[in-house]
Amino acid sequence: MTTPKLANLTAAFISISIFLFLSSSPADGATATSLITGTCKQTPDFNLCVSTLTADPRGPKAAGVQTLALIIIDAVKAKATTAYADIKRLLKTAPELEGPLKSCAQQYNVILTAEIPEAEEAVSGGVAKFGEDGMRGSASDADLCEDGFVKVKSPLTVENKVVSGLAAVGAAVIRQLE
Amino acid sequence: MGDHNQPFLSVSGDPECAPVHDDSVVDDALHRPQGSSKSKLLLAVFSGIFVVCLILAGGYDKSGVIKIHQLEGGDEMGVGPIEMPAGSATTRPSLSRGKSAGVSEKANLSPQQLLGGGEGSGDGLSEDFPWNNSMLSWQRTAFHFQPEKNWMNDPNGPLFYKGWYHFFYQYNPNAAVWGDIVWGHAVSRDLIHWLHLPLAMVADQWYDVQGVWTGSATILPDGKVMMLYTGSTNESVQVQNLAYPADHDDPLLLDWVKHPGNPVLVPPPGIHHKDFRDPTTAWQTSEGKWRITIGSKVNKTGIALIYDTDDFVNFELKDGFLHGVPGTGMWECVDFYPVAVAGGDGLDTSANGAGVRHVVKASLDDDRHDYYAIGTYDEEAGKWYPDNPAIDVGIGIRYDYGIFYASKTFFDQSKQRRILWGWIGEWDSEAADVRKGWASLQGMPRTVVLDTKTGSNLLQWPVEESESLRLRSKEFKNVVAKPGAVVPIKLEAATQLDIVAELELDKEAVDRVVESDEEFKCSSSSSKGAAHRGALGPFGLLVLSEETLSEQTPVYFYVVKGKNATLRTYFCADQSRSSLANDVNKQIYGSSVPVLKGEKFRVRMLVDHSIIESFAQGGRSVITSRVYPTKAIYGAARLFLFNNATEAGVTASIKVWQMNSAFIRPFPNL
Repeated sequence: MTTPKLANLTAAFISISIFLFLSSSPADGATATSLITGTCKQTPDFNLCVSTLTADPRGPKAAGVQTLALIIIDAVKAKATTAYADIKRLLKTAPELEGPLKSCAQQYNVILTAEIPEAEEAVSGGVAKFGEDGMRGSASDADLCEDGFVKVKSPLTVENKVVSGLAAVGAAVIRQLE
Repeated sequence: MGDHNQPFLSVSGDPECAPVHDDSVVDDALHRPQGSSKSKLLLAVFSGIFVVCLILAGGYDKSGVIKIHQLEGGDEMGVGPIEMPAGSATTRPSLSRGKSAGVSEKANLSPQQLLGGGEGSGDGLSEDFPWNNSMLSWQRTAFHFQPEKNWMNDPNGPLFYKGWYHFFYQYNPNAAVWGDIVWGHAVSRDLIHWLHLPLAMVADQWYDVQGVWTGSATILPDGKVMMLYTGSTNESVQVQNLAYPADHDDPLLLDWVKHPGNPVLVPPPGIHHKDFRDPTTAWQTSEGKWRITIGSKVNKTGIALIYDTDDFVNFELKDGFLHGVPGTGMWECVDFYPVAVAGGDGLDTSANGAGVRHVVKASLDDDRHDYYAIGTYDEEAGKWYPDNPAIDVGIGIRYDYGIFYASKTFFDQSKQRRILWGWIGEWDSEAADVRKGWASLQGMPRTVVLDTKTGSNLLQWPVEESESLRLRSKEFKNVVAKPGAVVPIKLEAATQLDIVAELELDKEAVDRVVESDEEFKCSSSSSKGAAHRGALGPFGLLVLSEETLSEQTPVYFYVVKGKNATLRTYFCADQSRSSLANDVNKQIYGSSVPVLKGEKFRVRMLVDHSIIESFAQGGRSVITSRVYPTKAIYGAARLFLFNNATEAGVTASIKVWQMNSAFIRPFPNL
């Protein structure tokens, strides 16, 4: 056996090992159960769904879709809360964007005070369709906030996209409860 | 089913790599006699690392156990198609914004269905629609039941008692979205002029603290009222509770007592604690017992459970179900009632015998529509069989082909008629609902009778008291609309109307046109709604339309001449251009409607601001629409007759009444 050939082989081993390691579980080491993957396959964003659910300690332990739905709703709430705080801050620091920012404040207020509580109560109570309403409404409101920035660049694009995408995933998860 | 906690495989608590031989391989390598080549050492070390990485890749979990078996979750997983909400991150921004899709009573929208918006909407994409208070406040209705503010859903416990019609409803006292549900209450002498009363029941017991949900009233022979309703307990279990008036001499039934022994029913074995709700009015059996039904499901089969009782406190679950239909999912708001074969008057809920058919109705949670079927009730067996299993409950006829859910009938003993209430939700955005401060209406109460001409469907018609709202009328006789014509129907105002129209197609054209094998559906995705032109349709009315037709809501007939020159008729409503706003429903919907030999095309429409109720062929097919124009409001709203058929002219005779307000308000001096 010649040395160069062996060197190639070991290099190959290293590459494959690294590849397998990186392509395996999410970075935090949590595992997507078949409940999570099966549920997330029926949502518009499989990866976002899986990563959100596995990042929550309840996710891999969840015995049913209802728990998964509540996790997503909590995630939407968290993202919407920070977005709302950013909007409030921007209203002070970017007065030239007052118009669309005020609309955004209204939309996120609806998300936080009406639509998320609706979704939580409905999913807990077993009347999922109202939970779907709450999530679809939240997605719609995040989109409306983003659309309000017409001639100027939106400072909230990333946050709006996340809230909208997560809420859409939430609606699709809740749909599976019906 | 249910959220049973299924433990994972045994948790060893050891978070380290399980397989044992890694170290020995490495040890082997390290202790290898110096005489072997260095390359073999390297190979061994990297093999070891490789194996370790494989194990890490292979589903190593926090509990230290390699997951070989993946356990199924406790709840069933949905198996329906993925519904992509329009406007989700993956489909914007090149499509028209439209509403972020399918919610409860709100329609599922595909990207194609969101297109529209008419002229003048610009690109319709780049900004929020600027709803102003004028547009929003116009949306409130003048003569449909709605509370002064906030959210409403299902009708509850309707009854006629000591001279008053009573109406209760699911209500959120705190917001314009669903939640914190309690029972609202209102009374009326005539089903039209409603007076609001204080809340009848609130969520103040452990057995209904998470929601005082839907229920029904039974009037006993001695006049006493029993109200059974669903409570969501402190642990979110659905149970049935009994309540009754605190004072049976109070015609307003202001105060209600909850039976101290509640709940009177809990989910039976095999029924999930979240699939057990909406008890019906009771009817008497030949044994003198009272019988009720409650909707539920087993896997994907929607069912109606049966219970017998003597006292509304102790119940006996009967074997089997009243009926069930596979694939229909959860049956909400089940209704069960007799209709007379001869038509005419309605029947008491306990009526039975010759000349009586029975209707089973369910609200399907899965698609948010109300379905009914007509059949035979076998009282002894406690079973009901549909006349035509092909159009069984949930797979056949709907009360309404627009927005109409959680409906419930009651027998009005004062006028011997069966009356249908239905919840009409919103088809705009929740954000708009919060902004305008309210959401939902009730439909105009309708009488329900068997259609004696077809024998296979019901007829629904606005209660005759609706005619008391009629003010001035204008008649338009023999208005001709040639193919492609849009004919203005000149009125002093066009937002509160009662329209009765009879239309005829040009007979010579009908005889002349060739047979078509067109497979028509109001809602087909290639259909352009009322803009799609066939030989014999569409033709009908454009309601809540603006002078230049930038906003229009067509309600119309579409006729197809099929094999052997048989005519098939469809009755549709098209919202694709009803509003320039981009955050409202823009769907096209409807159904086929039987038109018998010699019948003209007939339609009655109640237009009341943001609600349109359309009744075809005397109520054989009904469509309720919620529309939110931005321009065709107040004095700018118009009515047109239109004919988009290519071959046939249309002649119409139309009578239009201006409709008064019902002045729905709080009960005075309470």
